[in-house]
Formats: sequence, C-alpha cells, structure tokens
Amino acid sequence: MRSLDELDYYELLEVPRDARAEEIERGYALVRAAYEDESLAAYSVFDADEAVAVRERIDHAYRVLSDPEARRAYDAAFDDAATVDAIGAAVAGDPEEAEQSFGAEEARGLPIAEEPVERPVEPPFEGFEEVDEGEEAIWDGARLRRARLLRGVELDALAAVTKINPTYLRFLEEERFTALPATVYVRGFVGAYARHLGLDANRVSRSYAARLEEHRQAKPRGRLHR
Amino acid sequence: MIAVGGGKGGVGKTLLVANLAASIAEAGHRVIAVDTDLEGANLHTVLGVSAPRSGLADYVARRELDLQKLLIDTPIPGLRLIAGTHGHLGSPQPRHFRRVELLGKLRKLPAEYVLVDLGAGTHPSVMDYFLVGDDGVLVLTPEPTSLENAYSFLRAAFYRRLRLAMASDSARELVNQAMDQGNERGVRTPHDLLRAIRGLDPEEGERFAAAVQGFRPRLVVNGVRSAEDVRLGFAVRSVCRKYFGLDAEYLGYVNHDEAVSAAIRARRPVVLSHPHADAALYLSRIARKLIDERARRAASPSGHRPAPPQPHHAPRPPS
Repeated sequence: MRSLDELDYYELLEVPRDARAEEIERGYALVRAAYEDESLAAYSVFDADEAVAVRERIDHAYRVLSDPEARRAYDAAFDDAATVDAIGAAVAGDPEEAEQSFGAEEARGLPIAEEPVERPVEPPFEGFEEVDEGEEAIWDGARLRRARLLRGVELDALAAVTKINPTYLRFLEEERFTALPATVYVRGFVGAYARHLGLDANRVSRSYAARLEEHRQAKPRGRLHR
Repeated sequence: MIAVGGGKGGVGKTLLVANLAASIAEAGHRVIAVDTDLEGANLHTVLGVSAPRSGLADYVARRELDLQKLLIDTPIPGLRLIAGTHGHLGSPQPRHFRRVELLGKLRKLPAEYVLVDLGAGTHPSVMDYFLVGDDGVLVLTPEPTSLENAYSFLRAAFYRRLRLAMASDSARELVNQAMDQGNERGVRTPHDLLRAIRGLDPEEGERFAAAVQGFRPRLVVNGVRSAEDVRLGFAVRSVCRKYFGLDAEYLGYVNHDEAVSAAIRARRPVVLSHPHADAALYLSRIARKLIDERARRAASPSGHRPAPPQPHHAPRPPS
C-alpha cells in the first residue's frame, strides 16, 4: 500500500509496465476522467485541491510515458537501480528536459523500445468483450445499444459521425418501429451505426431490417402500438 | 460465501443476489441465498417464494438454532433460501458474539455458493457479513447519493477490517481516530494512518499493509444507461487504488432495463423470466465470472483468490 507520491508512472495510469501506446492512451483517458471536477467517482473522496494534485501527477506520468524517448529513459532508470541517482532528476522532469540533459545523440543512438508483438491489446476489463457473436445472431435494438456501450460510444458522438439524427438512433435502439422511416432508410441508418462500431454492417442491417419488416407486417401501418 | 452490499437502499443488492443465485444454480451448482436484511427482507419475493414459514429472524431470536432447518426450497432447481423475516415486523440484528457464530454457520452451509444479501447502511452487523465473505461485492448506481454511500460503506469496511487486524490497543485507537475525520493528529487518509501506525510499531505496520492487501472488494455498477456510466466502474476502482490503496475489481455492470421491473412483478429473477433481455445477459455474465473464479481458486493451492499479475512493482521509481 503506497501513497500517491510513491506510485510509479505506470501505476498512476493503471497500465502494465509493458503497456503499448494505445493502452497508455486509453489508461490515461480512463484515469484522467475519474478525477475531473464533475467526476461522480472522486468528489466525495478527494476535495478540489487534492483532485488537482492527482490530475497533475497523472498528466505528468502521461507526458513521460507517451513520449517514447522519455519513457525509455524512465524505464532505464527502473531497470538499472544503480543509475537512478544519475538520471533521476532528468526523468522526473518534463520529456523535453529529459532529452536535453540526457543528450539527444545518446538517446537517438539506442533503439526505441519495440512494441511487444505477441501480446494483444487487453480490454480494460472483460466486460468490454462481446456477449456472443454467432453468425445467427439477431440484431435487435437492445443488442445494438449493447454493442455501442461496450465500445464506450455515446449516442451523440455516434450521431456526429454518422450524421444521423440522434433521435432516430435512439428510436433504433428502442425499437420504436412506428416512429422510424421506411425500411430502406432504416437499413442505411443501421448500416452506418454498425460500421462505426466496427461491426459487419451488412449482416447487422439485414437482421435489423428483417425484424422491422416482420413487425410492420404484423401490425397494420398507421396504427399506434406504443 | 459472497456478500453483496452497497450502503444505499434500492441500488440493486437484492436484484443482484437473486439473479446471480438463479444463474449459478441454473449452471448446475448448489446455491443458497441468504437474506440478512431483517428490517426489509424481500429476497424471497424476488425468488418467487410468497410467504416463508421461517427465516434468519428465527435464528436471531433463538427459536431455531440449526440454520439447515431454516432452508426453504425455491421454484428454481438447485437454489435454496434462508429468508429474512416472515411476517412484516422488522427484527433486530444479532449482537457481536452471536454474529460471529452465525457467520461461521453460514460458511458451513451445504452448498457450493452462499450468496448473502446485506441490508442498507454501515452498521457493524452489515460490515461483518461483508468482511467475512470471500468476495464482498459492492453495488452502486450512477448517482451521487449512491456513490457517497458506497464510499461510506467502503470506508467503514476498510477501517473495521484494519481495526480487527491490529494486535495492540494503541494501534486500534489510532484506527478509531482515523475514522473520525476531524481528529487532532491530522490522520486523514489511509496513508496518513499507515504512517502513524508504522511510527508506533513497525510490526503493526506490516499487519496493516497485509490487511489492506487482502481486502479486495468487487464493484458492480447497476442501472447503466450510457458509456459514461460504464466508465464509472473504472473511476471508482481508480479511486480505491489511489485513495485507499485497495485493489478493487470491476466485476461488471448491469444495464438499465425495463425487463427488470417486469421480472420483479412476475416474482422471478430476470435471468429466468427474460433470459434474452439486456440486463439478464449482463447478470449471467457476472455469474459466469464468479463460477470461473471459484474454479480457478479451487485449482490454486492456497485456496485464495489468485492475485492479479503484478508486473510493474519492481524497483522503486526515481522520484
């Protein structure tokens, strides 16, 4: 159990020591958000000044770890305790300072830490995996929404990228079939929705449209069902 | 034995216990669900047991000392229940020594999984169930009130665990003082407390650190409506690490889902009544995680939940 000042930069960003660049980005985004002023998670534990201090530590850790050279220097200090005193000052400072006091030539002469190839990028926790991904999967509104939440995409952000009115996106998820336009448009909406989430747009829109059609045939047009 | 708490009423403790119990039983395991909320017992209703003939209140009132005789069958195969109270009057919680005895008996119940539904609040009686369980689960919803209560709950559990771990009266007194946030010694955070206790006695400091390390609450965010709500679990886990020094686990989240209300009205766990509903999928995934973990633990020689890999704790960082 160590206090905030005793945590190393990897612990501050809550990423493993061999974290890849994208894991550092994601770790930073998650951790940084936890200590924002409006964060639900932090306000009743850290007061405003403490939150600022935590954010500064996190930002500093990110500045070092997101800069390959500064990170390498920091790691070197880790790996060789004997040199800690010699380079500690440089590493603790900004990446720019670190580079200057380290000597840019020396730094450039060494290979930049290679990204490990064998280990895939780990999801931040298992809950971000798909529930199931069968070929026969039925793509209904709830499932679309689930796929969106799993990827951490807000409805407004999705609307901005797909240029689809967020109200329609919500109707898609809520399966407000009577409020949705003609099937051909809905297919387009669902396709764009799925594509942005990295899903198979064809399969997803076909499955959703089939549900929609089935529903529309069962209920005579023009009658409100909700 | 898995205790499910959350500090605040209405965050979904009973929902979680009922559905995890049903889901684990459905996977073919023997499960006992226990309702310790003697003031507002309703786990039985959610499980489809209309009027329990007996309950934990009978044990507390010494009408029945054999917990096994309090077991009631539920409509769900493999799942039995110890209800809270029968009738409508609330009953008091057992006092400390009776509680210790009860906890011992709960652990020995003939089941692979004993899931315990805790009452609201941070009374020592609630905390003890949470601390004795293998995997205390903390349920919260994305609302300020829930978060505030969740942290009070965590704080109470944290300090209670530490106080019980301390061998000397003087160290226990320090823990008591830390719980009083306006204390004179300036012990405000868990780290201040650790420093103070180390200063008092390095051996107590070791015990303190070990007690913190062994305390690994698990978080479930219920009533999720947005990606931001999903991220709340990470944020709370981060605060646990950075403030309490605790290695909490984000066990999962449950989407807000109308099917949950429909299931409660039908008096069946949503994982059985609406197995394809969003909430049901998430609940059964949490159940699967618990099953997998138990299997892993059974395989590990120490019998404890395996610690997560800790690759990045090697030499001290330069500072």
